[in-house]
Amino acid sequence: MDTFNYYFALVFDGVAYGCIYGLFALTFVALFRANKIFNFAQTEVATLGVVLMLLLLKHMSFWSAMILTILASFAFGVLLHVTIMRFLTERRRGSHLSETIVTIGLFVIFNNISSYLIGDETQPFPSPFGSDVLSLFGVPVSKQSLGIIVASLLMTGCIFLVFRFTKLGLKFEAIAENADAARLRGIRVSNLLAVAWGITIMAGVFAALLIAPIQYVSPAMLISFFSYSLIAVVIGGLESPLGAIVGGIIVGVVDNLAANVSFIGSELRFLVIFALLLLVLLVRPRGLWGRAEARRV
Amino acid sequence: MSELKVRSLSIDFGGVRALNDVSLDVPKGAFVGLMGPNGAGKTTVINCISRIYKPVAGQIEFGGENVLSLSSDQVKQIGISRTFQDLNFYNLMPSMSVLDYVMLGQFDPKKNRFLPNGLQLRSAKNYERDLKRNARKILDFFRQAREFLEPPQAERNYPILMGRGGAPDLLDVERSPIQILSFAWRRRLDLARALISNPKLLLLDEPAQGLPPFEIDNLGKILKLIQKEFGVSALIVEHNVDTLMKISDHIVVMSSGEVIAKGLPDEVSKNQQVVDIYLGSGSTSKPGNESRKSNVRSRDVQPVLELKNIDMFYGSAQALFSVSLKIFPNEISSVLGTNGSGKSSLLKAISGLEKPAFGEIVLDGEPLPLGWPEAAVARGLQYVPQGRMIFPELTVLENLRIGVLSTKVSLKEGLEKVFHYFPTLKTHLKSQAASLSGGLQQMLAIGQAIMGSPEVLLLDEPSLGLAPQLIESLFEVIQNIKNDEKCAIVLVEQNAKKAIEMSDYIFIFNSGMLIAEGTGAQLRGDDETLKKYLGFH
Repeated sequence: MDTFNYYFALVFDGVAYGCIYGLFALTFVALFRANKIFNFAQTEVATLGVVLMLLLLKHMSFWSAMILTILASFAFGVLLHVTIMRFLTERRRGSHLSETIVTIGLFVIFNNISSYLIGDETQPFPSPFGSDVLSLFGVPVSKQSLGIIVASLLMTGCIFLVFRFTKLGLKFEAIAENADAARLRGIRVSNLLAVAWGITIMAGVFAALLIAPIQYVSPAMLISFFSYSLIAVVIGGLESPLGAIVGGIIVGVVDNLAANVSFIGSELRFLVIFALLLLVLLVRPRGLWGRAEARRV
Repeated sequence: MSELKVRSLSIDFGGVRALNDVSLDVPKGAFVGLMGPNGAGKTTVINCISRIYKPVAGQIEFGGENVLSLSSDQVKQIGISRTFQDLNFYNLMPSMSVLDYVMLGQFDPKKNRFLPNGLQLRSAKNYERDLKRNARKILDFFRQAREFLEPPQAERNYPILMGRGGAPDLLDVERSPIQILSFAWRRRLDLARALISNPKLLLLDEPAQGLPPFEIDNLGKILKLIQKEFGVSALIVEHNVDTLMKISDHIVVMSSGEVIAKGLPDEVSKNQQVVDIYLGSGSTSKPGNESRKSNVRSRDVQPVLELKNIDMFYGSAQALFSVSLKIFPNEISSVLGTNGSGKSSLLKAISGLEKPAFGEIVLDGEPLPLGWPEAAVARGLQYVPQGRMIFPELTVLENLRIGVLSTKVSLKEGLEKVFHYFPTLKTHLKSQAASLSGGLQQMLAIGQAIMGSPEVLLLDEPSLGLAPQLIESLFEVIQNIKNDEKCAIVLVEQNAKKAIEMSDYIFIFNSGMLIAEGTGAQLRGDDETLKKYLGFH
């Protein structure tokens, strides 16, 4: 039974990490579908959000700092689109590659701003969930992991509901399929893209806040999350929101198991993830939920 | 003895037969014009001869050589040289000099090896000197040709095309980058590039595309000079029928991958089958309601839409030349013209999908912001582009929900309206739009556009690719929409006879200019205008 508990805990913690990878992957996919851009700066903006909350915590309570950070991150996403990305994406003959490369530049800039604000030392971050162990149907699980899973699934659920059942979601679907056709039906694409940036940045910051108590705060806190969530996107299929979440959880679980198997260990865990990526791409080149390009008429 | 013989050429593109048993000849020193509507397979023929495509059957013989056994390099060596429809080289290398660009036409990697060139050996220098001499000879020809051309008119409408201080002498600017040249001169430079390799046969793919009318005339003159000076023969694909008829010694007409007529320009322009292809066949049966048509344009009605001096460009190619027209409510106005005459560009300009460079569009007495489709939709203007821009992966219902998103109409009202005109859609609400047949997709696209009761409805070739019976009923529905919704419909249509029959007013476009307008009755009695529309003289 002890072995079961041990492996269950490994899987459970893996799912918790995987939910965060999945949430980041979801934001990559959502923005890619709407704007055809990969926002490589996503995790660094999220780090900046955590840094902001850390600074706010000196002046106010946990929950008010959190709400303020979330609101500020939405506004920041909108601002990013309005001040920078809009001018790149709305050139009729601009290429999406150059826009994506701009986000790599933003990656560096935001990383430096985080360094400037809090230095390179790691700092602790308070957890709203506490660090005790809870008994779930007789199996011990960490409260922290449970909190992460529940909160990120709630966030994912909210995003799903908005995209599936509201007019806003329908407009995003229209843009994702054909932006020109959407404009011809009167959908104001530029405004919607600003909202898309706001939502994805906000969701990214939310994910970073969830993981910050475990990961500790530093400018480099999300570097590994960046690569893991990109792998999750590719495994799930570039344009599939469901694939992003499932891909994230698969990556999280496999990674955590690999790190704790003695003959692999934390040194070689990344190798296992890449082997997994290669395997998926060999069997399904467009990812698990990827769609064939030819279907887009 | 003909120089180029094409025999029974056939080619498939993914199961679709693009060329079927095409045979044609280009005699020595003759210019052969290849004409036909879009998708007839004209460029495909040229691509087969220049060995870009590999035909599934047929022979191509040039000067006794079997062209199909050669590589595209070797095709050039036996004296076949071509130009391309779009000036791709310019976009790739805009900073290349004029002289280098022309030299590119004779560049032979076998004679210009890396090492001798890098070490500046005598052989490499000699090779380059010869190339330069040839290039200058060609440029000198274009200088001499200038005296036969119409001088550029310094008109307001052509600021971009004129370049600085009128047409340049290419020899004076041989060291300058090609991007300083106006569009018309780039087209000429492309001819120079094709001529430098001393070809016996030129393959010209739409050499006049994007040129203003007087430049098209100039191009025709230059081509005739080239024929005289270089003794070269040519196979010319061109949509501007007028020019093609003037410069060609023989005409070959293609439609849907087959040759349907051959002969001297005069014979071909009288061929009923050819006229039908350009004007649309059949459907002459119903006599139109003359009394209704002759009086529709009463001058006391305010136009719902007015265009004032619209100029539009794609890059540096001008698509619309100072177009001014008025659209009145409760009328169907048809826009007719050959391919490339600017019909679709007109609708794109009005809808805001493309932004005109100059001019004004007035909707309901108030100016419409240019190049801003969202604003146009909000003001009650709906556009159904060619090729049915629906959302293929969404369901029919989702597509229709998108149709009412930016209107004041509720989904229920909107759906009622769509089902009134297109009851068949009701049974497909849950289907993915991509799975619908072409006809249903077109109904869905028009349905989306009429849900919000638009004041102006722009339809770009709604009948394209539909079965004949479907086209009849679609046109009936369009009539009904006009009558019930009291909106103004602007229709771009290939089938000119049908369009004239069902329209209250007709606009005829040629080379981006509005050349004639009138009611159907006026135009039907006017053979001259119809000929003008065809480009026949």
